[in-house]
Amino acid sequence: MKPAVLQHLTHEVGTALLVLLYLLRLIVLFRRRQARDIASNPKGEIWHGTVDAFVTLVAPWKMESTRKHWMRYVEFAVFHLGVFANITLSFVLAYAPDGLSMPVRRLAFAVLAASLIAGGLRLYRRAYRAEMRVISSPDDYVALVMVLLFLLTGLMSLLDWGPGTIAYFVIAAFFLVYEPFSKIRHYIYYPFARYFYGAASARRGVIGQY
Amino acid sequence: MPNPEETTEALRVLGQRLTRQLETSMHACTHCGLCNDACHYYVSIREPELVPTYKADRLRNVWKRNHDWLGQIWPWYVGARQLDDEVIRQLWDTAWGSCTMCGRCVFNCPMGVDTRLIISTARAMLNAIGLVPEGLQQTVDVHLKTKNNMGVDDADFRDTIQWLDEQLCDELEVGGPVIPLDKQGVRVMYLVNPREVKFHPLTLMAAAKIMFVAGESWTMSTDYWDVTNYAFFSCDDVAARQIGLWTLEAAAKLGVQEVWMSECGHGYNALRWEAENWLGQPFPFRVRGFVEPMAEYIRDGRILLDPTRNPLPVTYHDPCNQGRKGGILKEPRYILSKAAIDFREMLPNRQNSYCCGGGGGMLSMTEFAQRRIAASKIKAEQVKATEAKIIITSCHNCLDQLTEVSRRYGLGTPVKNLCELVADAIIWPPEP
Repeated sequence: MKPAVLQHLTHEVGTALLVLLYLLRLIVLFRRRQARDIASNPKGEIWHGTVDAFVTLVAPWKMESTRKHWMRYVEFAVFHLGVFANITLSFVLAYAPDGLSMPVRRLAFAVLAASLIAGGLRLYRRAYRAEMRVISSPDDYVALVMVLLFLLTGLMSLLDWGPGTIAYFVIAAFFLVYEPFSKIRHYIYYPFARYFYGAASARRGVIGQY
Repeated sequence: MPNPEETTEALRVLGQRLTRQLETSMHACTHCGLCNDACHYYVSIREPELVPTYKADRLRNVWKRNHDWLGQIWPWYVGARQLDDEVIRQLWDTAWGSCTMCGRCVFNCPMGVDTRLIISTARAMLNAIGLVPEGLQQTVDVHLKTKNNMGVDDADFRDTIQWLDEQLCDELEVGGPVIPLDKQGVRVMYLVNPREVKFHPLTLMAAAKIMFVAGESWTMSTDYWDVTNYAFFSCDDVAARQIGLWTLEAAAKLGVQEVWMSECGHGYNALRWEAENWLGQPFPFRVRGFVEPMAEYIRDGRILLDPTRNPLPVTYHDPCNQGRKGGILKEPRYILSKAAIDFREMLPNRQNSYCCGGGGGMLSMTEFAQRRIAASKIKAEQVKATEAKIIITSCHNCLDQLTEVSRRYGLGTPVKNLCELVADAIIWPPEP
């Protein structure tokens, strides 16, 4: 089997497993009862609160924790942007490597490098601050280290370094299968959590009052 | 070790309360620590074990062991724990002693994790196996036995109301009654906190004076008049439902259109937002906290105020259950702008206000009193920064806690409920 075919196969199997596992997770979630709020005379509209809850994610000044720790917000944004770019890169490299022009390659390199630094800061904080250590399990560290390795090998593949590219695709495939089990799964759940928060708070007239 | 039946029962309650909302909050936490500074316990005491995520994780770890894929096959890797003796001890200390379920962390979580919901689930599990702090359980038991949480009997209640009524008639120079009892066909039934009847009649007198001057059609029921519901704190849904049912029955008997509550944070949250869910049916009447009609009276000119009668600088503490969890945020500020000449906001305020430390039934749990006071350091600093001479709030638990905080932290600032400030500013008789 040719390396390119193997590369496609691992990527496709990894992606298929990821989708399957997340579907299973969502089935488990939707089999749970949703607590209904029947309190009369709500003070606000659920959809107003939902919009407010999601807008807050891109408006750090609206939430005290991100307003006070704005550097953490920047770090969060850069880190996640890099992860998203890196996942996209794995598909581009596998299926449309010619689409990577030099300017795009340079931009991707900058984004991934910034994300790697942001992730490094996160790892440092988790390991060295007492209030972060007490809330960290091995999964918290491994998930972060995995992402850092994924970003690092992504950078190597952008430099067209052969062993780095192979490592990148091995890690990408493992990463795809690993994430539904690890804390990385949060991105499947947070839209629901934001919705529940927004809906409940808006009904009570606390947010989303336009 | 808890016996196997207790473990099974606690885990059954966890499974029963594992709604889509709770499951989502269990999964979505990334342990980012951004909620740390939202917690008055952590901000005031600075112990790592007081950060909201750590507290939520006491239960989340048990959930992982029983409901999460990796937690069931590889528990050490994700911190999953069996519900053993040590975990139960930690849950006891966390759920009862280091979280008031104020919800400030929920508003500061980028993910939307509802730590308040997690802690209330832990409380319900502990309740199911009889592990409730004695003072809190006694308050619920007395309520269920006597239909009010201080065991005031009917004769005492009637005598007190009659005495207050006489005082008010003298003050207003009118014939009675100013506080009508069991009056059929009126618009409003008014509920009070038993401590108003027993220790703090000024609040009830102030509310009665305001309603009298506004010409309100109202009454109190001798069948049921208690606004509190400590089963809401002990997360005993059966008891909480019963208490809600008594309000429903009393209001139905009088045929009122609205039920108003004296200024009581948790009472407002319990009756306004939770009771219909416990009962599984909507109320045939409207439920309101007294702050809301008070603001309307002022806006509609039904009561006239002279703010110069409250010349000292005042600040306002938002009760969590009424503000962040109840939506009464604008009304108190409107009232204060009309009833006092110098209103100073604490920073932060409204839905970002720090808990005073007395929420979550904490005042009834004497075993955690020392930590409760230590955790209110941030609130004391907030009050001090305003240089206000009077703290106004809208909740009896907050009032008690803030009074103690003022004394312990040497603030020397008295605390009043909002209606007392309004009653002091009322122009009566109306000037020609």
